[in-house]
Amino acid sequence: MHFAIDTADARPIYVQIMDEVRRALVMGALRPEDPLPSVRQLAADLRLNPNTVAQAYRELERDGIVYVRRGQGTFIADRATPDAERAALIAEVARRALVDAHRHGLSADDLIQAIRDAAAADAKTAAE
Amino acid sequence: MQTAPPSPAPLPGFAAVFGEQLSVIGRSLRLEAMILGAAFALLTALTLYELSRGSMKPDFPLDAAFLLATTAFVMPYAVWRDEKLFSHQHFAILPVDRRRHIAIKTLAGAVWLGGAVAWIMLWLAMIGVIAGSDLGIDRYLVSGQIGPKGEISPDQLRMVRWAPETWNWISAFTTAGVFYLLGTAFELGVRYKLRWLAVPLVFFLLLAINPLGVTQQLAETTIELLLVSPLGLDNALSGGAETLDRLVLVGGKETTAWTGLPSMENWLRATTFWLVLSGGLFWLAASRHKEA
Amino acid sequence: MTHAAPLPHSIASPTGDLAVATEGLVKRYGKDTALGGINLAAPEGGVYLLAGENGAGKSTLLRILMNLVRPDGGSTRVFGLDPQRQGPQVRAEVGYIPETHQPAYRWMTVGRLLDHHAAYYPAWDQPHADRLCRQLSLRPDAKLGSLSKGQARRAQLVCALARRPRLLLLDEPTDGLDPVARDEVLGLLSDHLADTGGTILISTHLIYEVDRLADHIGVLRGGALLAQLPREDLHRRLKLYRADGPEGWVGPANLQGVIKRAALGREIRWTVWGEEAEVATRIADSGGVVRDVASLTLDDAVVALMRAKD
Repeated sequence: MHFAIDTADARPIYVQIMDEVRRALVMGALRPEDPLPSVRQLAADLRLNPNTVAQAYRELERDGIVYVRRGQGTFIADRATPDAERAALIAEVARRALVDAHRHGLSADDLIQAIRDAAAADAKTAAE
Repeated sequence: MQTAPPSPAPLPGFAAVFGEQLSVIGRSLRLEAMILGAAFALLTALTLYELSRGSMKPDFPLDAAFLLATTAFVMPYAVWRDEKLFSHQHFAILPVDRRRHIAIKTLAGAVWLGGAVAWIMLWLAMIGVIAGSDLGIDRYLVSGQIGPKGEISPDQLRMVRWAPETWNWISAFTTAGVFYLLGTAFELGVRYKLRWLAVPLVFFLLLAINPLGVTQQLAETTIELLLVSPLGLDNALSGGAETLDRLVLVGGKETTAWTGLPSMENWLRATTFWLVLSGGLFWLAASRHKEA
Repeated sequence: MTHAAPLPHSIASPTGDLAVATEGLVKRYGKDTALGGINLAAPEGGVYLLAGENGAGKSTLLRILMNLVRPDGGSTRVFGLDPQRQGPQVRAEVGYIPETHQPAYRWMTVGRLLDHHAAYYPAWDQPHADRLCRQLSLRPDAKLGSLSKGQARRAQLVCALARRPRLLLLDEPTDGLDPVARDEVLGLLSDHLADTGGTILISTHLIYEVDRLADHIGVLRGGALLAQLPREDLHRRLKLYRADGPEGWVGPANLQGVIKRAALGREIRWTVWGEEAEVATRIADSGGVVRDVASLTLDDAVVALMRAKD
């Protein structure tokens, strides 16, 4: 399981891990009852401090996305549906786009129009 | 993560450290041992050849003590060459008190040296058995006054047979021990060893210039004290055998004779002094690296 | 920025015990003050990154902890023990990998070196050592004198990790290693942390290497501990603000905690230590529009701290 971790990101590493789990849920890569890699395994794979991974898993458990089966590890919870996470994910993507727009001095309306134009151009290229 | 404080990490015991150092020293001196072994094999072959021809009468080599002393003095260089004590490397990182660690390593080296000396003594005894000899020496003993040019009258000479006593066999070990400790003290205590080459250089320079003939006198006195005095090395090594040797003139003919017999009392007195001295110098040098 | 900087000089409330604690630690070499009164606090179970320029005294500090160097003043405690008085006990608890990777005994094989350590450390775990050797592709019959730099460093690692010490002291652990070896070292350290819950104190000037492992930072400059804080705090409170305003706008008058200020045309960038909401508000209040608030990588953050004018 490979998570993309960026130390330059504004989000602390444990938040990035949580977001990656959420992303996997939305994309269907992870389903309820699927096991997550052990804290030790994930930490070693990503060259991370195990405390960081442990923190991510704790927060995910608090949010009800995963649960811990004693002696067996961490698993995706039953009620972690792609739909619920999709809504949160979309909101996050939109927020990031808005921040980016703002950084470049563009308004929300500018952005919405630009997205529409870009999507239309994409559809046109795909049709040709 | 942990509720109870973890138990402290255990420290190695004397046996483990000593055993390990014994092994490390033995292995790191392997090359030197092989060279000496080859030299000894050659010596053995020569000796056996001479014995078989009947042209040799083996005796206890009182003057080989100097050779043994030199070897024992140089050995610590080989023992400590990997350790780089002054820059506090691997040796100082291990979980043993530094000075105690040095003492244990020195002891391990001494065991190897003692083993080598024992081996040589056994070899000597074997040669004696093969030759059917007690390794004794037939020598002239001179009594009474000796003239300024070494003249004596024939009745001052008589033939004696001297055979090595127990203390002669033991003296090999004490000689090796004293010089091993001195060599170790130099190895441990002196950081810039090459600078000490300057000492004999200056000494010889002064001898050459010899201001007011004082240096000559000083040198002679020092050598006298160091070597031939009652506490001198000659007594420590062989009970005074070297100084006992004299060239005498009997009726115009030169002969070597002893002015006395090597004495256990002389040996014991001098050896004790040198053991205490070398032990003290060793401890001083080792303390240079102590921790607290 | 005023000298009474808002940069924290000690961990505000260390939760739990300190693996390493120094108080007023001083070491001088002639006229050079390598350490001028250091109060280091490395909490147990964490990864403490000691950053600073080359020759800043980081190595000296580690050597003092192992009692290889005697300090000129101050006190040191490792798990409550005094390295000067209880040197062997401290060294038994610590796995130390010095900057140099020269093996002491070139004639020894790797296997023999492991046996050597096994004799000195009763806590030695031989099966674990064998496993680590296999993981790191170290052949037990290879002579130490014939090993490459990377292999020699790996051998040192096995010797330190095999007995699961409570504290690992690493002096430039990845310096001089090829990228594969560096990656392996970091993976091993992560493994060790998960295995033992032990503490690691890494001294390095290659900050990006240990970026993902570190959870506490100490920045050494000019013999003094410039800052010492949890990594999360640094990440949260040291940020780069970009804002622009109307013609002639120069930003807020008394912005606290500014480490660096640069202007690109009419856009002004501040590297500020402070709470994001507060700083952003102050900039906005002064008439500017905050375009971007970015985090700094650990590397950039440390560099910014070290370049800050007093």
